[in-house]
This record gives sequence, C-alpha cells and structure tokens, in this order.
Amino acid sequence: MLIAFLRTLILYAVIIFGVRLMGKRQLGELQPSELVITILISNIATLPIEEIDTPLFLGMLPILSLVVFEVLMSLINLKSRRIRRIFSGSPVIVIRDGVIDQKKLLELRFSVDDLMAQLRSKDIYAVEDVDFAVVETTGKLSVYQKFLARPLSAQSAKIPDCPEQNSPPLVVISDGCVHEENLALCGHDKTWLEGMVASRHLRIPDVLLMTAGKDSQVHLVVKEVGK
Amino acid sequence: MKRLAAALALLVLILAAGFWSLWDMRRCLDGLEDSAAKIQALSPGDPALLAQSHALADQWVHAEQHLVFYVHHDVLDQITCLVAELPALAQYEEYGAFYGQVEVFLALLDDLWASAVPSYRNLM
Repeated sequence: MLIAFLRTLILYAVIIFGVRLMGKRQLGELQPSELVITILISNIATLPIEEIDTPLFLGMLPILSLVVFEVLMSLINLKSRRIRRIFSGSPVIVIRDGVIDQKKLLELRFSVDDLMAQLRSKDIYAVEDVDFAVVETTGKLSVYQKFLARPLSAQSAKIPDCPEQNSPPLVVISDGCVHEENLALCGHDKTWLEGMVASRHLRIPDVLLMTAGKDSQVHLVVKEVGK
Repeated sequence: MKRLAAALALLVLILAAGFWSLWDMRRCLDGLEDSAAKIQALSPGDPALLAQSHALADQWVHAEQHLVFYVHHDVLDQITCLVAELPALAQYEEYGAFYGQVEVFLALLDDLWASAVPSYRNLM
C-alpha cells in the first residue's frame, strides 16, 4: 500500500512538472493535438500506480516523452503555418453578414443548435445581428457583431479618453503577503503601502486583500479569521 | 526558449537512459549466459556443478537489482524462481531437470533481450 502511495506521489510530481513544461496553453483552450496529449497522459499515469509490477521508470517514460513531443511540436507549429494547418486546422467562417454558411457548418459537423447555443453564450439571440462568426480551431465560436448590435462603447459614444482609467486595479496584498511586482506596476512603493495600511490602523499581515490602481484608488479587506 | 531547452534536455536524458538500459541489460545477460554455458559444459555428477549453480544464483540476484528498474517484475520473478531451484536440483542429483532448467533459463534470457530491443516485431 505504501508503494502505491509513494508511486502516486512521484507520478503526481512528474505530471505537474510535465504540465508546467508544456505551458499555460495546455491549461487554456486546447487544440486537437493538445487534447490528445492530455487524455493520453492521464490514462498512462494510472498504469504504474495500479500495476506495482511495472517499473516506475517505464511508467514515467511515456509521460515525459509525450511532454517533450508536445513542446517540440508546439514550437514547430509556431514556426510553420503549413504544419499548424495540418495539426490544428484553420478557423472557418460560418456566418457572414447575418447569413449562415450551411455548407461549412455541415463540413464541421456543427449543428445549428450548437451554433445558437454558442451565440446565446455571448448574449446574441439573433443571427442577423452577426457580421462575422468564426469557428476557431479549438471549436469555440468567435463573433463580430454588426455595428448597430454592438454594446455601446465610450468610443462609439464619442466620450473623450481618460488615460488614467486605462489600468485596472491590481492586487498588492494577498493574504498578508505583498506583491512587489504589482506594487511597482501601480507606480507605488512599500513605504506608500505601509502608510496606506497604517492609516487604517492595520498591519500588512492583517490584510486579506488590497487592490490599488495608478490613480491611488485603494480597496482593502481585513482578515476575519486566521489573523 | 527555456521551455525548449528543458524539453531538449529531457529528450536527450530519455534517449540516453534508453540506450544505457539496453547496454546494462546486455552486460548483465552476457555474464549470466557465460555462467550458464559453463554449467552446461560440466557433466552430470561433476563436483563443481553445485558450486556453479550457487554462483549463478548469486549472479542472478545481483543482475536482478539492475534489471528491476526497466524490466517487468513478473518476468524477473519467473527467472528468480527458476534459478532458485538449480542448487537443489544439483544437490539431489536431478540432472535431467537441472539441465532442462538451465535451458529454460537461457531461453528466458534470450526472450528478455528480444523483448527489450526496439525491433519491428516489438514495435508492432
């Protein structure tokens, strides 16, 4: 039993290492090859855990090999458009100027119900409001709405630009720990931070969450438990 | 680029480990085959038969400690059981069974090597 436990721990570390090596792409939208790799790795990982007679090295080798192949293939995909098209396919336009391209939909084996479901998930209920809809290589639908159907924006309402509003508030304290990088991005330093926290009669470890922006707007949440 | 470098380093490590395991296995098997051949060369009733079979058993125990890292354990267990019988067979003069077991031992070693080599048969 202890062997199974320790093997699981080792394989867990190997898989985490593998997923980290493959990068954030793997955790986001999956291309077909990435989906294959993910499924393969999860299946292969169970074999050396269940079968104690299999050497651990023989169990880890396929996982690490798949990780290496995936990293090398993703680099080749990056450099070569042709290879990218072979492995991942190309985006396909399924709606043009409010008209559904039924032939393309059939080729993709994408049903109208799927199409409408994806449109509704983007708060679009009328096909005629869509100027362009593209099915990406990941299977997701990207939509560009017609001008009159688009949500009102500051640009379309001709509201003058406010550059200081362009940067979002960033987390500068998280669970009592200071995020130095975010603090620098806000244009502040630790002295300013300590001053802000002290002005509320608090210490940094007492703060659960603090966000700050370039405009020095601050939002602070105090810890209620585990002070 | 760091990711690429790490992937390439891992690839080199995997290939190196693969080739090393083949080389190590060949080295172990060569030693065992030589010892088994020496036993086969001895005639039934030879006083050295018991000592050689004990030596072969000890040599197998040592080799198994290497092979266990890259060979399925059930195969190794099968050979261990076989080798464990040899000294007793030699001691109690069961020479027919004894030489038969030595043949089986050599066949299993050949099979072990044949299964490890990346040949067309194994890949398919």
